Amino acid sequence: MTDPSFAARLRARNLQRIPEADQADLARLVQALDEAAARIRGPIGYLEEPSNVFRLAPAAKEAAR
Amino acid sequence: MNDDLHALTIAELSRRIRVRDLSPVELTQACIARVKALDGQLNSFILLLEEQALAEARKAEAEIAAGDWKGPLHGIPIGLKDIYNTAGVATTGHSGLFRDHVPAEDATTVRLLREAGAVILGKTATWEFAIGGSSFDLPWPPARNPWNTALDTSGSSSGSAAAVAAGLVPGSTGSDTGGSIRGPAAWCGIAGHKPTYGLVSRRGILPLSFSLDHGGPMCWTAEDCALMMQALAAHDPLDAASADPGPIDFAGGIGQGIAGLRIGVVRHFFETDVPCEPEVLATFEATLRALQAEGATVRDVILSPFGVYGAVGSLISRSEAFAIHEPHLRATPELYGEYGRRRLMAGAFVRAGDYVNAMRHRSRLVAEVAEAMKAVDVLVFPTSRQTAGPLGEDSMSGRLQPFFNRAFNVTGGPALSVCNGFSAAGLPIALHVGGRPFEDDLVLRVGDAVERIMGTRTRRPALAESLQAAAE
Repeated sequence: MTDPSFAARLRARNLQRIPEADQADLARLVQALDEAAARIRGPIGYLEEPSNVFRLAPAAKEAAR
Repeated sequence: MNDDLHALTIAELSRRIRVRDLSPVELTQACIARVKALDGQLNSFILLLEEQALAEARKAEAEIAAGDWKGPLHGIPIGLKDIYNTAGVATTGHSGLFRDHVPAEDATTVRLLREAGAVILGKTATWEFAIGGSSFDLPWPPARNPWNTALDTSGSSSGSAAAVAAGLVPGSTGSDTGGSIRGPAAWCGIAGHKPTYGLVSRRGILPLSFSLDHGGPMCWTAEDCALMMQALAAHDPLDAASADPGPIDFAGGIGQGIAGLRIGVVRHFFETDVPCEPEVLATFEATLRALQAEGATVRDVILSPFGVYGAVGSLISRSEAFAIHEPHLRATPELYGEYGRRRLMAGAFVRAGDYVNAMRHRSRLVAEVAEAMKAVDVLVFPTSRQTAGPLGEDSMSGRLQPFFNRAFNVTGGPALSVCNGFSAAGLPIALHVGGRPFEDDLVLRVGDAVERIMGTRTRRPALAESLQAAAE
C-alpha cells in the first residue's frame, strides 16, 4: 500500500503508471533525496551567486567575402 | 595458449610487442581464449568482438612489423564499457531499452583508442545505463567478482572491473558519475582512474549526468591507467566541457616514488562521518606509515562532512539523469530493470530550487577543497568502507553508503583507486587518492607508489586461476 502523501506526489508528477512493486523502494529513494535537499537548504548570500557558472566562448566566424 | 600473458600489465605487454617478442594476434587470441574459458562464471562481457578484434590485431602486427609503432596501446586488447558508442556495433547500456541501439559512429574516446592502435576486444557489462545496480532482470546477467563469484563487483563499471581483475583483458574503459570507476576498481582489486572533469571527452558515451559524468581507464595498475590516459585525454570541440590544459605527461611520475610529497588525510570521512570496517582502517593506517617511511609527510585535513558531498552529488546526478531518461521512463518504463527505473525515477521528485541549491553548494565545496589542497599535494581516504558485498543485495541503497569517492565527482578533481591490501578473507582493500584539477599525473604517481610499496600487484584472484586450470 503506497503512502497517501507519496501517492499524491506520484500523481502530481503524472507518474502513477509505474509498477506498484516499485513504489515502496521509490518512496525510500525519494525520502533520501528529500533529506539531502534539507541538509543543504539555507540562505546563500548575493555575493556568492556569481560563483555559479554559465560561461560563453568567443564566437567562431566565417571570414567576410 | 601462452599461459602467462593474462598476468602481464599493459606496460609489460607493450614492451614485448614493441620489440616483436609478442604478437598482437597471439595476445588477442589468448584474451579471447581466456574469455571463452572463464567468462561463463563472471559475465563480464556482453559482447565479444572476436573476428573484428583479430582483424585489428593483424593490422597492428603488420604496422609494427613495418616500423610504424604507434605507442604503448598498439596491439593491446581493450574492453569497452557498453555505454561507449561503437560504430556498427550495438551499444546497449546493458538495458532492454537499448538492446537494438547500433550507433553510426564511435565515441571520441573509442576513436582515440583505435588511433592509438588498441584492439577493441568487446563490450563489457555495466549497471543499467550506469546507474541501475547488479540486476538479474536485465537482458544480460550482472558481472560477478573474480575474487569470489558470490560477491558483487559494485558498479557501475562492473564488467570492466571484473574482466581486468580476472586477466581477461589488460585494460578497459569505465565511466564515473558518483564513483562508478573507482568503486568497482576497489572491490575487484584493480586500479581505476577518474580523470579531471573535461580531460576525457564524453561525446558518444551514453550520458547519465552531464555535469558529473567522467570517462576513464580501468587497469591492473596505476601505470597502465597512465598509459591509457595518454590516448584518452584530448580536447574535443564536440564536448562543451572538454578542457584544453596543454600536454600532461600522465606516465611521467610513474616510478618516481613518494618522497617529499605532502599527503592530506580526510580522517573524519571514514572515522566519524561513515565509519570504516576495522580491516579497512588498519590497512589504511599501515599504508600511511609505509608512505611516511618512504619520505612523504602526512597531515589531517578537515572538509565538510561527507554527507554534504553525498547530498550535493545525489541531488545533481538524480536530477540530470531524470532529465535524460524522462521520455523513456514515461513511455516504456517496463523496458528498464527495477533498480534502474526506480533510481532514475527518483530524480522526478527533486525540486528545481533544490537542484540549483546543490549546484551552488558544489561551488562552495570546490572552493573548500582547493583551499585545503594549498597545503597538501593529494588527499587520501579509503575508497570503500568495506570489502565487496554479496551479489544480489542493493549495495547502493543502504543507509551507510559504502564508498567515499563521490566527493571528487562533485569537485571534478582527478581521483584514483588502487589496491593497498587484502582482508583476512582475501578480498581487495583500496586507497583513494585525489588531486588538484589537471594534476592527474601526480595522482597516478602516488597510486603507482602505493602499489609498489604495499606490494599488492603480484596477487591475482585465485578463483580465476582455478577456473583456468579446470578449463585446460
